[in-house]
Amino acid sequence: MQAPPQTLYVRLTWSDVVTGEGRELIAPLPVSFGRTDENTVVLNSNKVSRRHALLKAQDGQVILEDLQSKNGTYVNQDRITQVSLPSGAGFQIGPFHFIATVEPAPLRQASAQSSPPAQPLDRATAFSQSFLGRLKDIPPGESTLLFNPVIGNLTPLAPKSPVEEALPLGGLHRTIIPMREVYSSQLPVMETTYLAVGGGIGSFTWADHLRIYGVPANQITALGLEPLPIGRYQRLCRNSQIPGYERLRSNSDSCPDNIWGWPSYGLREIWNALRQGKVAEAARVAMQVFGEPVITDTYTPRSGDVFRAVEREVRRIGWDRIFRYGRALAVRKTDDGRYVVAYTLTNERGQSLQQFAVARYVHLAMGYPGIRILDDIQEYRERTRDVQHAVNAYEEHDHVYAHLLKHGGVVMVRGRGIVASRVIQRLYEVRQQNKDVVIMHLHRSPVPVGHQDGRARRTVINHVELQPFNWPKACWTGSMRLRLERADDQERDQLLNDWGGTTTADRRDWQRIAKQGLQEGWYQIYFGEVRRLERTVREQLLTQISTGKPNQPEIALTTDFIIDCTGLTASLENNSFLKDMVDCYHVGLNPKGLLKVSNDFEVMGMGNGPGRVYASGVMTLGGPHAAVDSFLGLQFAALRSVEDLLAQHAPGINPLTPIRSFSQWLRWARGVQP
Amino acid sequence: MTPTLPGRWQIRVFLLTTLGLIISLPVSLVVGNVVPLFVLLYVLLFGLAWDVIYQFITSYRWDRDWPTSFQVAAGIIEGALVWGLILTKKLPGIPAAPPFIVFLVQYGVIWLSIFVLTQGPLRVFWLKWRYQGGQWFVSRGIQAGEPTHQQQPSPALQIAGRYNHRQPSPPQVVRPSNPDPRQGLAGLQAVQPYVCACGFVFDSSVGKFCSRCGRPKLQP
Repeated sequence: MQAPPQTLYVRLTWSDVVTGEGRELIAPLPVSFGRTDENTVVLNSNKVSRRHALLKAQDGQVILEDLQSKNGTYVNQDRITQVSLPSGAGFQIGPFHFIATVEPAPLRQASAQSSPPAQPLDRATAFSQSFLGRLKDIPPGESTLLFNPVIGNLTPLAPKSPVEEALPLGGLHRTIIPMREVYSSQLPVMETTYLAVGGGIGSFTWADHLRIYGVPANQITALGLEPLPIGRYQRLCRNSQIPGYERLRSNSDSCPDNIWGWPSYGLREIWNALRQGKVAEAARVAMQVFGEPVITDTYTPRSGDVFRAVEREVRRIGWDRIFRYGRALAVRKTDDGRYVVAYTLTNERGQSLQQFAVARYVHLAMGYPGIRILDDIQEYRERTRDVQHAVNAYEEHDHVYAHLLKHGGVVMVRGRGIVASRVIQRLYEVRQQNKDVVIMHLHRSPVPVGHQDGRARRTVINHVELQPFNWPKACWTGSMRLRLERADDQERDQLLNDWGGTTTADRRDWQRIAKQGLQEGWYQIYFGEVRRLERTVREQLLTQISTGKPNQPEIALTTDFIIDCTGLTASLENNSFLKDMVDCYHVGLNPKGLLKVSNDFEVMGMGNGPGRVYASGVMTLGGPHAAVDSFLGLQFAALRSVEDLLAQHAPGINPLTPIRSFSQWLRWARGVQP
Repeated sequence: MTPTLPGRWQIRVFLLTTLGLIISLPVSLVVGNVVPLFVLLYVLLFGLAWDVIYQFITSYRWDRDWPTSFQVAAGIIEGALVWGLILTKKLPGIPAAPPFIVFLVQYGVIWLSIFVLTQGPLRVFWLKWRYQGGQWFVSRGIQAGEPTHQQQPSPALQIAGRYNHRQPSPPQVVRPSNPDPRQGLAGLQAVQPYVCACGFVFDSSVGKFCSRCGRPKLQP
């Protein structure tokens, strides 16, 4: 045996199972994987053994060895004990999918560090250690398209970093702002009791709960960029090919227009069908609601029905009196136990005007700051300025389908979530009219086994995990919700890793399309890591992929279009308002790097005497609730925070006794204001 | 609503002792004996055991859910078991089996009303009920486990991710505010520091509350 002449380095890339944020590690071999802190890569999952696997160098090759783990290490489809891993190959440990590439030794010592000497660490420090020095997040902004802060739309080549705007009062440097400074600033000051920052569905559900609990509309203010709280959501739906008649991935009794969730959308659809005399249609829906998800596919509401219902509730609670146009810049505590939010609005001449909103109770629900776009596509778009051929599914991209309908062509779909499934269905619809459409579905790595939790395992079909909704159903109201709520930070991180991951709905029509396409050859599945994206002389896109297979390490696919279905970005860094708040008050973050909230969704560390800051939505992911970005998750967060306000005797909020609850529901049913 | 085990028990006990009794009493009066009340009692008692089995079955389901069709199947099986045991004539309180139609109507009406109520209308009265997995009462212990509201989590230890590089800022003394720029530096005054119980030091003239932990400032 001779010692290797030079230490081998590997670059490991993977994504956070829950947030999808990219992670990267460049390290010298050996690299160990496991649940405990002595490993190079600490993986917090119940399905990862304490010492799970080892990546080591042997005769100049990279060897992946399973350390007799309980749940195994997988390469492609196979559970392995020890294999030679070609550069660019993927492997799976528990819920984590890695790609390992051999790297030249880095010049700077900073990005790589040999295993530190074992030392006793408490859990929290050890956890932080696993993210210090040895790991690095792929910098945010590199692969995201942010929503335009002024108009709220996506811009295809938007500046990478959020727009920085000078804050009023000389930068709001102090943590406590005296109110007399706010008043003497000469800027308009709006005083309210309840201030919702965001103006989207999260703000709306909070305002809806406040209104129904008894707060008059003139005591609530919502700051946002769209007059309709569902505006952005609606646009993202439309862009990702969910027009009004298509169905959302949402449960029948998740009703953002009705805090009780009854009558459910299923019941309303049955009722409407009966009223129109469509008995067969009503029976079909009833059968689906009854049989889901065992006998029939899960019932989901039509997007148009949900939007119409929300618009009705928007009018009912007086949202027009609640909503104010404005982009929130920063929040500060005031010296009288309240909060001041600096915001801007743009006038017709394009000037931005700064104003202040002052409130005792603030709710933050600002949603996803942008969409995620794959690195190579972002790089290609910036290099070629071509935003027509390589698109993101959340951007407007109807021209792709129009072109395919007319001329046919080859489309590459990337990503394996619900959006990818819907895009493939849309392409199939185009193909019904033009047979010259071919779909190439590119995945980074295969999915040999689904996530596991206890005795249950998630189904995998065509390398996509199936689940009716974006989290297991019991995460909303059942045992899993309670389990997560009772867990501490570390256990929550572990549970979310085990339950999370990209999934799509178990829809028979989608599976039929995939099966037919695979048989007839117009739907193909490829695996590999994209090296580079080029434009050919014939105006096509050439994707160079390293497959990690020894017999065919590189392939190149030529397509007319690429549709990136990777999803939305949940990075706090991309939200300048929240980042400022975190930096100013050293607000704690949860293990997912997002806002740490109490079980009542209060932002920890932002209390100011009687004043409270609450949050809901994706920026609280990693906390007491899993499905924070769903309709019902937003309603749950709103309910918990309003109940917490009730316990503090916040003005205008009265207990919702069964009788009051019923009479409020009657008001809802009659369309009368709360 | 995806029920938890305590939720299943609470739904069963609450609805059978209220609605179940309301339906069983007239049946009992019509047939002229207390057998229907005993039937109700057995449905309740056996049900508490059934619920444990149901909850065990959900642990094999990835979604840990209880589909509507399962709920219907469970209702039929439960009814069949109680009727089977009635026929054995060994159940205390039920010496002879009532006519099947009486049992069917009583059991059927009770089951159907519970089914309909749990599908939605109960939420109209108890908003929190569905989020608690069908529980009206959640043990206080769970909620007591919460951290104190305004306690600032120590930034050095509990923060993960990119922010753990940042050093926690040392306690600072805030200068008194100086809204009038014309006063210039001459306007600066000596600062009276205030030390909060949490250890944070700040200018005693600013604010009524500690900016770090939110405690109200004590007047000297």
